[in-house]
Amino acid sequence: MSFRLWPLALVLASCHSGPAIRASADIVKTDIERARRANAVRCAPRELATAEANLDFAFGELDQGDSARAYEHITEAELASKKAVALSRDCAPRQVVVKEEPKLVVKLEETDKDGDGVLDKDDQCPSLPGPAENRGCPREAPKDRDHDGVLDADDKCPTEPGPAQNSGCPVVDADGDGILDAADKCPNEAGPMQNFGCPVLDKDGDGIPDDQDKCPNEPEDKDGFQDDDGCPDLDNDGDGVPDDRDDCPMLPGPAENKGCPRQYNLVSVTKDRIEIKKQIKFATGSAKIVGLESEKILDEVAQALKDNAQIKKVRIEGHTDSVGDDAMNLKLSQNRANSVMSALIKRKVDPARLEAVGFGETRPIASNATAAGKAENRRTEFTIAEQ
Amino acid sequence: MAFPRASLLSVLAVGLASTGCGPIQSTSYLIDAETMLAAAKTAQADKTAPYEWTAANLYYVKSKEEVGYSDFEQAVDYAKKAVDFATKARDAAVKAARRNTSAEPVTP
Repeated sequence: MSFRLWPLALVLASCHSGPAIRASADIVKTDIERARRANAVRCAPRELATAEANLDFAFGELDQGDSARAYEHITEAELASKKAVALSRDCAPRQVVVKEEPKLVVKLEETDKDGDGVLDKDDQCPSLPGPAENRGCPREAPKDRDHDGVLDADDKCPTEPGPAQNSGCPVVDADGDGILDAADKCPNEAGPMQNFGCPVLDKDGDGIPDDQDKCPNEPEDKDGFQDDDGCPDLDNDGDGVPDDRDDCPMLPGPAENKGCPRQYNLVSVTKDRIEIKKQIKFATGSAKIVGLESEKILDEVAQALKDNAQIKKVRIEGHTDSVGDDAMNLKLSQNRANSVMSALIKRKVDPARLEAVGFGETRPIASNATAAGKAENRRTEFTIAEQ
Repeated sequence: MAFPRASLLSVLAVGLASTGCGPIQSTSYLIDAETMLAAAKTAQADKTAPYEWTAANLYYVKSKEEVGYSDFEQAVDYAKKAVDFATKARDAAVKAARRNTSAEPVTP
């Protein structure tokens, strides 16, 4: 080396002098510490290790007095430490800023303790959440107090079980007639379905409904005579003797005979006529009544009419045989009927109950070819026309 | 002039101690460091413990460099640090491996 290069060598040597390297080492040390604080162990582990190791090596070389090698190491340490710092910039754990809760400055007067959105001042249940439409009170679960399956809201009888068809009310049949009150026109009076649940009235209690009872206020006497009309038949035979005093209530008879028909010798009273057992005799070709027997017959006929007041009208019929002129026979029969009627009237029979009709030969009952037949055809009959 | 035998042995001992002990020690520590680095590598410390792994390698290389300069004392010092970092790297790698294993879902 020439003497002219000595100054340069001294300058170069001074560049890597121990104190300068130590100064650089301090800077590297500071950077390493920064990098460590920035969690470089995690984010730049190789760079951190390189920086620390080379820093150690640099000090080692300095101790050995080899500043050139120390410089190499410190340079490498410096580069590595800066790199570690750079890589660890965003690696440090983030700081959590805990902000102090702002202190309550204004106290709200309108509170909502249960948080149901209804202010306490409007909330009827301020400690229980509930919808506004329920005034802040919890909406209650639908109730069915009578457990009939119909909710109380729809149950007209919420405490009495009943089917939904009856709006939750019990099915009632107050009169127990088997017809529910809802369909019973008379819910408090038992009655058959045919009468819409209303009782069939039978005011007289005779068992015949009033609507079929001709005498709803009088009980039928049920005596076997016209028992279906509902009317009492107090004198069945109409003989004027009440049935309760009539020994023969179905047969007309005078009271003197206890309502039983009187037994006559020459006549008998049937349903439609008063039969005479023998004929009343007239003079030939005349209307004059003859013979004691005829008088007795008329007496009994009159008595029969008196005894049978139910006979309102009796038609006295005169008939002839075919002998002679028809017109004459007709006139004769009429005259003879009139004679009989007169005879009865004489015997105190009400004339209003009598009428006389002559039929002539028009209604024979036997053959006019024989004498016996003609005798039968000549006759007087008492037909009951009205009773 | 003849040296007594005891004096000769003493001189040899001092000579060995002053010249031959350094290389043996540094070589021994370097072998340890090499072994531990191999173990750390097997445990994938280069991936899971990069800080310790890098430091161990740097000290190992520097130790060998110091041996080249016959600076055995420094070489031993760096070799020890290399062993120390390699051990830490291996331990960290083993721990990381255990964490990953336990974190994996168990398949039946």
